[in-house]
Amino acid sequence: MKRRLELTVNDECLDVEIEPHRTLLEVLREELGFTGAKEGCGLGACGACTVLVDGAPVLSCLTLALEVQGKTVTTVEGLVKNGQPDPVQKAFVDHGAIQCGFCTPGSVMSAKALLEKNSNPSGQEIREALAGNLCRCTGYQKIIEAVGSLAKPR
Amino acid sequence: MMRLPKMDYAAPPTLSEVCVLMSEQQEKAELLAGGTDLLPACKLRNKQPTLLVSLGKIPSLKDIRFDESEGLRIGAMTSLNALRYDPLAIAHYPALIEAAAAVGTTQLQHMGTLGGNICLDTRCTYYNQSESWRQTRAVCLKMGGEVCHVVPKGNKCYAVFSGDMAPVLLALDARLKLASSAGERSLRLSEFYSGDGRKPLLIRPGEILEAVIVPPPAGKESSAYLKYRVRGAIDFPLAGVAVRLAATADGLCRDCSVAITAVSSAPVQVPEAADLLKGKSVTAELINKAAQETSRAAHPVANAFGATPSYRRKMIGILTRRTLTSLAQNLGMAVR
Ligand SMILES: Cc1cc2nc3c(=O)[nH]c(=O)nc-3n(C[C@H](O)[C@H](O)[C@H](O)COP(=O)(O)OP(=O)(O)OC[C@H]3O[C@@H](n4cnc5c(N)ncnc54)[C@H](O)[C@@H]3O)c2cc1C
Ligand code: SF4
Ligand code: FES
Ligand code: FES
Repeated sequence: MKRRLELTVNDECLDVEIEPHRTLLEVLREELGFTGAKEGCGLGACGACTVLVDGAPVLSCLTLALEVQGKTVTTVEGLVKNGQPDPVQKAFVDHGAIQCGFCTPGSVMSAKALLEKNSNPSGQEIREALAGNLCRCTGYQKIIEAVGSLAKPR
Repeated sequence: MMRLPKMDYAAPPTLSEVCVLMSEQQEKAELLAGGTDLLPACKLRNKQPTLLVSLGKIPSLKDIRFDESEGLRIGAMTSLNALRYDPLAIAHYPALIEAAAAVGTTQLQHMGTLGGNICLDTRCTYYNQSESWRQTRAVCLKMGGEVCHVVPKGNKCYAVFSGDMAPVLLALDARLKLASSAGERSLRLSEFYSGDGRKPLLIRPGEILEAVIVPPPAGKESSAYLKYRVRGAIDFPLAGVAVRLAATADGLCRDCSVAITAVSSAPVQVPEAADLLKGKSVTAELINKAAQETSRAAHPVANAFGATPSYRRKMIGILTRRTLTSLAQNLGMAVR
């Protein structure tokens, strides 16, 4: 039997009728049209599906959609404000931290969660925060440099 | 898209309602905490519950409290990330922080709970696979069949317990508080594991883990956890060692506790190693002996990717030596 799910996605209050066994990733991509978050492994090991739930980076492939009832979800689409990319997105572009782009939405969300909590992360903190986002292409160095360029000394 | 089987879902707002629901449903229902162990198992069709009962709507299960006499009480739904940055845990139990920080990735630490980590299912290279992969072989004991592909001559399942928190909680002598519609009970964590890979927990049908209680540190003591895994960024342990060490005023070992994980179907304490040190001056020679004893207590089999059983067993000894040496130095005990 379908259930009603109410949630906020990227500052928009939405509701949708879904079967209880659907994941947040399925609902975002297939019901609500937010195709930014990707499925890599579907099993928690790659981070391509990372979105923020109430500000925390979570794997939407392992989150039951009904578990985010009443919560606030931010996907990579939600980072664009007034047509302008978020500083994290801009830094990824400027540093060449994107090749095929499949891991990018997840990596960007992990970086965003880190910087919201810690405006001046060390290299080690950046590496740890992004260790759950596998990238087949870049070799990570440029991703780490992109995020490092946003660290603001206090 | 890798999809979950059809299941119903309930999220009762109180623990007593969860207890009632679980007692009515028994085996057909599974408790859902962070879902990071259960949902992959459902996707791979290792488990096919008809109902998921979420613990996510019960705020009291996320409480962390410290009391000088009881110690630290951690609600089962506390996320590993919340525990990792909890000032009370940081102040009193360094090994808890080290273990929480070593679990999976940042995302998994935000989602994964302490309760789910303690109740983790055992793992095996022949079990944590898709249905179509498993169909190429006879159904093994853990999936309800009659054979084991790892130890074909045995009639036991050797799937390995691979949680990082349990060894630390064993070394700290933690207790569990369990709730069910029949009432509450409390038991030591060491009494919670069966050692049977097929059904690793001695939890009763319908029971819910409510909280974990870690006794207060007594005097000069500290704890440490070290883990061996393939990729530092994400993997389950292939061997893990937790140690609690306490010193007397004149620098002897007052008390010691050693526990290991990921080398058998249950995390276990190794009293044979800890007893070697009690009341003694902690020398390098004694530490080596304790490391040998700990390694002897490890019984890994060939059912995890990344290292051979003999290498994992050797690593148990090495990690024991490292944890004991660094703890003894931190506590100002002479290590000669
Ligand atoms: C890629 C990947 C890497 C991982 N790496 C590690 C690692 O390095 N170390 C490690 O320890 N773990 C690891 N894990 C496993 C897992 O993420 C953690 O162990 C996590 O803490 C499990 O908690 P959870 O809340 O998500 O559990 P869930 O999946 O929600 O639950 C696990 C089991 O416990 C039961 N359960 C949960 N809470 C309760 C309760 N309160 N009472 C009774 N039963 C309960 C559930 O019914 C289920 O059977 C990894 C997982 C993945 C996908
Ligand atoms: S140890 Fe044997 S019985 Fe247990 S899961 Fe592995 S193959 Fe199956
Ligand atoms: S798709 Fe979610 S972690 Fe890989
Ligand atoms: S850019 Fe291709 S996977 Fe990261």
